[in-house]
Amino acid sequence: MLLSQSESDTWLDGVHPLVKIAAAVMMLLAALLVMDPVAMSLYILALGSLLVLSGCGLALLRTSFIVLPLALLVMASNLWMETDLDRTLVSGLRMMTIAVSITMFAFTTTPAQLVSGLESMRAPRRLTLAIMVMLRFLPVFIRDMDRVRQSNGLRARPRRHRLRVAYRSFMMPVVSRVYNLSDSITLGLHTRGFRLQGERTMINSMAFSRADALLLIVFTMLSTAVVLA
Amino acid sequence: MSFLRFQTKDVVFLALIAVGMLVSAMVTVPFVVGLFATVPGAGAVVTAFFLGFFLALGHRRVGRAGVATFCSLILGTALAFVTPSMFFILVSAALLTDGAILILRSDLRTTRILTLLSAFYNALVYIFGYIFGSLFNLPGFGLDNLQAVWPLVLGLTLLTTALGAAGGFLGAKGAQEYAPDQV
Repeated sequence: MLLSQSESDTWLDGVHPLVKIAAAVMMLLAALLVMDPVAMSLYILALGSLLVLSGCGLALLRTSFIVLPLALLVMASNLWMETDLDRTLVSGLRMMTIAVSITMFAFTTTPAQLVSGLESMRAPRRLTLAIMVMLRFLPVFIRDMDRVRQSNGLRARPRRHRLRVAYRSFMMPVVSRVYNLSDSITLGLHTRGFRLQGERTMINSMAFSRADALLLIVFTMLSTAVVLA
Repeated sequence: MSFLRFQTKDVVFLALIAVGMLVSAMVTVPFVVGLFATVPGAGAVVTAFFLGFFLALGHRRVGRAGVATFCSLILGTALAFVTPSMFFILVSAALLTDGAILILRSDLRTTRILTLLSAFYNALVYIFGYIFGSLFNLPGFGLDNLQAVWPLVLGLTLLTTALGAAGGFLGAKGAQEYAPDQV
């Protein structure tokens, strides 16, 4: 998965990634258009219930633990700016739709599924390769940066020239890591005969199914209803 | 868009540059989320240094126009799930930056040009951030109250530009130091 999912497989795992992207876009558009906090709350409740029923309850809870404090912070900031209560609530609820869209997409889609789905829509291979590399190496990059941070923490802190030392001890390892990773990945791609032009074979090709159509219909109905309410 | 036809090694490098940009945004932006309603474009200010740094690395290695657009397309696609306006902001700023490169036809290996490009890109990110923030009705933005907050907006634009330039300068220096003969 794009993010780790400790739960067993859900039926959302088999849904076409492009359908999930379309659903996420609908969700975000609805969140931008709706200005009624009650309608927005019901919308999020319906989407959340859908995710819980599909087996993504734990993942939703984990995402909410991260997004909820941010939503509360935004609402507190809005209240401090004397924004009216309805708008404040809508701002907070908009952030909660992000939690739903991240859960629905990131916890149920593997990078390979996403790339396969994009390739089935004839997306440019440069773009799919870049997205694949980005998704695969995001956790690697985060882990590497954490290692650099930890190794810096173990060293004595200088009293003078702190900025110069920070540049040497943090920024230069980042540069080195980006160059080394890039060369290794490129070598790996060339070794496996990857090319940017021509036909490409797939182990698992993605195709649209009835579950995809069902999910799309449910999201379209829910989003249209909340915008018109 | 023929100017985006990169080789495999360039695509991989730029994807990693986008990862760096994304990680820096993930680390820095949560610190200023509470300021979004009071300080318009606070996110652009805190990410400016790192966006400039990584953009300079990408320009230095690939050495031609299209780097900013390619990185922004990938980064914008990832960030669109958090806030759709980011996609439009980043891509608009990148297209103008690459347009400037195509018009100027300058050598992208000099530190001065890389510093200027990073500063220009970040200034555009802030300006487009304000415009799209107003269009998307985000808290803290609004073209109608620009008359009241223009000193703050101007100050933050200059700060973003300066931070972008600093990041670009260090990125160019770092790339030159690490791979002096690499284009």
